[in-house]
Amino acid sequence: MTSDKDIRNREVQTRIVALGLDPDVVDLEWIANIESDVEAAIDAYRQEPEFIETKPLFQPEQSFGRITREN
Amino acid sequence: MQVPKLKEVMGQVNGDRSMVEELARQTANEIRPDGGQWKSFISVTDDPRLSESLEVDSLLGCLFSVKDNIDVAGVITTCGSNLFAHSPPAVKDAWIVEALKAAGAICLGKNNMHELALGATGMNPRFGTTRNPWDFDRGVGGSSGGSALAVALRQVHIAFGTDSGGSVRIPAAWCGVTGFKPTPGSLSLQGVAGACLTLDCLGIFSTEVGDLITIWDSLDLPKDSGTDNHSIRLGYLQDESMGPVDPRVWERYQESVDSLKRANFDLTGVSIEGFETAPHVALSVAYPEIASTHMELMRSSAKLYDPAILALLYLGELWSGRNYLDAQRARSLLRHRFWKIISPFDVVLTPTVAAQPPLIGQPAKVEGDSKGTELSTLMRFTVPFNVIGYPAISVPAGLDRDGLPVGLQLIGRPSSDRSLLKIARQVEDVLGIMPSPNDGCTT
Repeated sequence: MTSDKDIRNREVQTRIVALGLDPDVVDLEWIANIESDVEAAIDAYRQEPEFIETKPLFQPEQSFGRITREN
Repeated sequence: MQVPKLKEVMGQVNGDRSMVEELARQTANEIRPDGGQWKSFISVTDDPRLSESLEVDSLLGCLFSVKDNIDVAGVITTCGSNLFAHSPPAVKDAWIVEALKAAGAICLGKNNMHELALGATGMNPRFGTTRNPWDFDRGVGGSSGGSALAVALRQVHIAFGTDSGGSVRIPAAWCGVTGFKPTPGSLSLQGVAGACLTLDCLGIFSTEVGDLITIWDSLDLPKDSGTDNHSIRLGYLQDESMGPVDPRVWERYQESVDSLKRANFDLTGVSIEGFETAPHVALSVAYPEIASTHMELMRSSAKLYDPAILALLYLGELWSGRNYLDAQRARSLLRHRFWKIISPFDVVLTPTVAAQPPLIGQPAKVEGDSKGTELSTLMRFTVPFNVIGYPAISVPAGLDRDGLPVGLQLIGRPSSDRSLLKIARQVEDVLGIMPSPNDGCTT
């Protein structure tokens, strides 16, 4: 019988393959668990009354610095 | 060999440039190219000299190093990873390196770090794991662990790192040195191979706050928005509202707060509610930002990544745009929430890290905290202030009952970096400057 965990891992595997990445080099269960935990935390913020009117904080003052190597 | 204190060196050199270069050569020779047993350095400058572009002498005598994700012209920026270990050398100094050299400081080399700055343990299979100067069997944390360690061992006066979730403050606390993460944008990230676009900050380590002020004042920075014209009001975390803390760490933290009270600081206890999931908000921002930086490399060179880091990058590729955007909204909510807490105060105090430095290879943990992940144990006090963009500094709070260093974190108001440093120095005057851990040790 296929468990919920197996179904979730398989779903993550399918999405990884669709991105052109190799699913065999990472821990699928770890990815599925973290994804679910972090989404739950963000969902909790979505329930807060003032959330929908809140503008995102991007800290645009950082944009003058490069983040990838040039050389 | 321990480098003499910065103010002593600066007082002695009196414009004598050859004396400074001789001190730099002697000190560099003492630091083994592999970082010695402590693994604090990845590369050491062969023949350290004053810059030809030296403009003023304000930092003449200062010896510094940088985390190996900060460019130094002519040196490979490895980012602590096999991925870049054989890259071409950087063609230009990072902004901070250029600024310090122009003021008379000399760069002695590049510090070890957690691979790609994507972790806070300080474990590095490629360049060796950094060792704690107070207990060789323990780690120093990260990701800027080598920089903190170089300062703790007195190999340099000043070291620079990057801090996206606590990567300067965590190793500062565990090495018994000072680590400062300014307001985002205060120090340019030009020439820094960052980890997360909107969370990264350049940070500075020193043995004492006065040296940070010397460096800060030597840089051409916008004027501070803080005010000096009133008595200082401090809030302090009075409970475990931000999560559980190791009792030995909490005991030392409480003793530090009590010392400040006895020194007549105006202190008020506060709870900091609603920040338990701040680490999750940070992750929801960080995953896609990290993945976007590594998008091409992770496809062409997947085998060169640590599998744990690769999993993190995959997660970033899978992450939805909605989750990313809503995490940025959550940052605004948290920023507003903390403003309500800090607004009666100039600074709010917390412990820097909830746990003692762990034994090498073991996770940081707080006994009895069954729900806490290693990430939340390491970062529960630091990452919230990357998420909301407030400046913060960790100063040594002395040793706990096991003889391990504990950090006291001071969180300031945005764009009040200079004021925060000034208050930190007053706190340091009461708590004292940590002695060197390495008298008699070979580096």
